[in-house]
Amino acid sequence: MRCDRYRRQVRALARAEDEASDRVRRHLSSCLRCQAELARERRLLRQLRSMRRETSVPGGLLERVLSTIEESGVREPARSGGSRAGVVAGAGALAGVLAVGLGTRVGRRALGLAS
Amino acid sequence: MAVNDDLVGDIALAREGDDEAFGRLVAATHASVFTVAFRLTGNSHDAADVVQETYLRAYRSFGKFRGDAKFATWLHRIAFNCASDLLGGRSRHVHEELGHDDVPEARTEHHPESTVDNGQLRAELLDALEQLPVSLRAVVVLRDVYDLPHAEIGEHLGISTTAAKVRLHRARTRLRTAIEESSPQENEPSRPSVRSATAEEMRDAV
Repeated sequence: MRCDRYRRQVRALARAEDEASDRVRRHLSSCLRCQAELARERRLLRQLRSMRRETSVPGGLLERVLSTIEESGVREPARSGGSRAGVVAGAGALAGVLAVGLGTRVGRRALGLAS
Repeated sequence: MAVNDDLVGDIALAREGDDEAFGRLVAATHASVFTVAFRLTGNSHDAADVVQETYLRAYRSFGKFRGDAKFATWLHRIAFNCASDLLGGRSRHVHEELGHDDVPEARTEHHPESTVDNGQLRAELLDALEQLPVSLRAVVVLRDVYDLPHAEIGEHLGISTTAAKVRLHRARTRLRTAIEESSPQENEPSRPSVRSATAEEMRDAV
């Protein structure tokens, strides 16, 4: 079957990975099966890309992440240097985010972004 | 990602060691990181673990974040690595690298997609992705969902670029087949997935 020879190129064309050769274009213009294949592959790719769209997050995940970080302790200081004091001063601030911020600032921020 | 602009202030503060700012960054980005993790692992439980590990690593190495990359992109890369570690660590307990068609996960009460009004194709595709063995799902998610180059996919998964392409070909073929068949009862019987690359796959892979 002639189409089988072109299938790979037709799919690559759908993914914009290849320029179609004149021969493939000629075949495509006259072959309904390959046109359908091109359309199908494009739809598949579009759907796959759309899966980046954020899915809903299990309840409590944010709190768990923040407390894990909180328990983990110190991080490497920023490369900019001179922020050592800042790192130390910042220790325990996540507890603040958890205790106060979740209900207020962070919570609102998260909600605002989700809407 | 539009969200990046909003984050600039908090990124600067977090670089200076402001943990509260880091907390806000987590709040602003965790849904997107969870989505990456969920696509790769195929279940909420593992995805949540990946998210935790991702932010832990991000927190520890925040000094290495260069402002020239988008924060979300940087986080995604860490999430890819965390998911690969989790899935790779697991597959070492299985005999063959490509071998285990996953035992379907016991579904938790959280179904991220169930609230979304999906089109038919999307629903079928989600099903089909879920049915893929992790090693195949990873390549198709990294390539076709997140648009990573083949070479980088190989690096994340610890395989050659050619092997990544071969897996991608297999994964796409199975997705197409699953979508075409998609009669509800007929979940693909676990056909032997360990075999050497066919001539067609090798041709496509190079």
